[in-house]
Amino acid sequence: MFRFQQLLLLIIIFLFSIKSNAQCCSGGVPIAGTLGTSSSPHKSWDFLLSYNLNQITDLINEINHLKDNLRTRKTNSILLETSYGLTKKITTTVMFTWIRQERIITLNSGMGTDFESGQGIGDAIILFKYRFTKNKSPYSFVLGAGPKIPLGSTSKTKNNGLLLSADMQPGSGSLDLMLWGYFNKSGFLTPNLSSYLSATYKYSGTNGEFQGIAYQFGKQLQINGGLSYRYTKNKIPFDFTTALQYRHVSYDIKGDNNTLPNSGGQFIFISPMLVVNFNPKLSLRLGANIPAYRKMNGTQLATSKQYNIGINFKIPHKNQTNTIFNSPKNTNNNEK
Amino acid sequence: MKNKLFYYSIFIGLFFASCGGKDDTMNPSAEWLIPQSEVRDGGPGKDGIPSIDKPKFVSPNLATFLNDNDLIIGYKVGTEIKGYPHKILDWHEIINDEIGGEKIAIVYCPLTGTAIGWNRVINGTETTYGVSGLLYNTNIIPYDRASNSNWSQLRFDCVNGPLIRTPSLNKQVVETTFGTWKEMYPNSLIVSDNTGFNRNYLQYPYGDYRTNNNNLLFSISNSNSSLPQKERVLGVITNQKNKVYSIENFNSATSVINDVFEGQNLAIIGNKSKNFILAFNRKTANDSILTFTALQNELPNIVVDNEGNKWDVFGVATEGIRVGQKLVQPLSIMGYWFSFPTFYPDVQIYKP
Repeated sequence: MFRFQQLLLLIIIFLFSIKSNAQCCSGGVPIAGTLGTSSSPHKSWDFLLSYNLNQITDLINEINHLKDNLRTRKTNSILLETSYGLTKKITTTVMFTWIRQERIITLNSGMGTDFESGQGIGDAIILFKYRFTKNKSPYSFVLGAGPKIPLGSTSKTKNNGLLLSADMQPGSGSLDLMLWGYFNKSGFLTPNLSSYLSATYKYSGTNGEFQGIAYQFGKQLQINGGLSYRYTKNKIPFDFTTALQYRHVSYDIKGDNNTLPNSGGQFIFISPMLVVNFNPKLSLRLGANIPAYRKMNGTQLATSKQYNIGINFKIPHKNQTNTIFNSPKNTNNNEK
Repeated sequence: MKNKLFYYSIFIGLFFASCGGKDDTMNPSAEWLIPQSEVRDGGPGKDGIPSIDKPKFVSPNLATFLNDNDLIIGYKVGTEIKGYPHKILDWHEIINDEIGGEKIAIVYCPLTGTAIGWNRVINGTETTYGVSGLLYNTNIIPYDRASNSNWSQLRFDCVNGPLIRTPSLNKQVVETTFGTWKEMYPNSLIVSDNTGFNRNYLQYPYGDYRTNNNNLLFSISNSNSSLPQKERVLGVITNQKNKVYSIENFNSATSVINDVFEGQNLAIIGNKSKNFILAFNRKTANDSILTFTALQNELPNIVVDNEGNKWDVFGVATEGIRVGQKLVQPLSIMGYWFSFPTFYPDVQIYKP
């Protein structure tokens, strides 16, 4: 059995390497990416520490992939999601983020590359979730809502002291409203199969003044649906999940209600995930988002690949005997 | 086995931890001639909008991606005449070229609608210009690759870097529609849409920006509502002073406005339906003051003077005793109205 301490040390070293390695890239921030954890039992804690790499390298004109390798963007995100069961029905979830945005452009002159980065504490989310179904029901239906708090900085600068653009900042500068819903049915068709459906909607607020002008990131709707199959080997349950993710992002708005023409779009991703349940309290998840369809507004860079790894740790209430392994969780990924 | 895998993973993690990215670009100096707090990152990054450095050309009849109403920037040296379409410049902003032995960059800002030619030989050193990704008052800040200095298009000087305070070496261009340009110079060369870059040149990249007077994507330091923000005007700049002449001052026939600005006797010649406005100094090298009468249907010739000389859109005498002579042109540039008061707050507006 892989020791928890070894796993944690490994992840910490990996996360440290992200901060140091300037070759990391940037792009969309999965601020609502891991908002898929269901409710927590009463007085129980649920921690999810994850890392997300979003590679945005494909230049897309509407639905056409243009051959252009001049620009590379990546976002490295570290997400800490903490849930606590306030009551049997109500859970509160708080998510903190740390973001590193990077951009590498191959200079036209052949004189190397231009590199820029911005990193720091990102925005945070607070959600209050209400579970409509009973804990022991094969169905799980949870709704939640709460704010996205603009904790992240929007004043990061380049090496020459100039302010980085809005999409290179770790924060958004805006107070947003998050709506979230989750539905799961275990024992779907077979005892080892479960199905789930989740949705997240972000109503974006406005950063009143960014570079002297109001800026509002596009509103986002994301819907995930999939199946998860549990396979047990050597008493360790492995959950294999296949899901489809649909995402719609509206235009960014600048100034006096002016849409940024090359922003927003629609996406469909294929999202495989593996969850390794070491014990009822500890699991490791590995996932990816692979674009299957993209319809962009105008011409812009879009996600080419997205990967995530996370460790989930539960602290049940002392009166609770947690012998039930983690149910499959989906991984959602949103841009900020 | 698992322990070995664990320790290998630590080694790999530390390896990546030790790797550092490198910023390969030079850092320009910290001094700026413009308020650094007002320099904006436009979003794409340095060379994120790639300039065209080796343009290919086709004859006008093969430039099938252009419509007659599309705007084009024209430049002429001797018998070599080239057109640089807005449809290409909207996506690349700068075209580095050589024409008639002159090394020139056509520098265009889609957000202010301003285009000018810049000599690419600075202090004896040849360079190319690129798009820095920075903006000042919504206007392009090109950078030159030889010195990595940043320039302001509408200030016409270098504002940051080793060449700070160096004035740009301006070349007057003609902006008109492709239909009019073909009428003027049917044998000219047009920049091809085979640029080496993968872009949809049939699509304008900025939505309704050209026509929406309320759409300014970046802040400006001085707003002036005397004219609609996106009204196209010719701005004449002399002694750091500016006067604009609107396309709305002209109609479907070529006409001449005689005006005096900063001690210069100017002839502003324009045609709204042919879509051009040009400024020339009426005073010749031998101090004669010419009087111009507009010509109709004789493009590229647009005026005849009191001596009987005919002059073309580049201010070159094509007929008469002064054939081959060139009129002095004040520094002038076409653009959206809003861009001029931001750089020249005391801008004057010509009123008939």
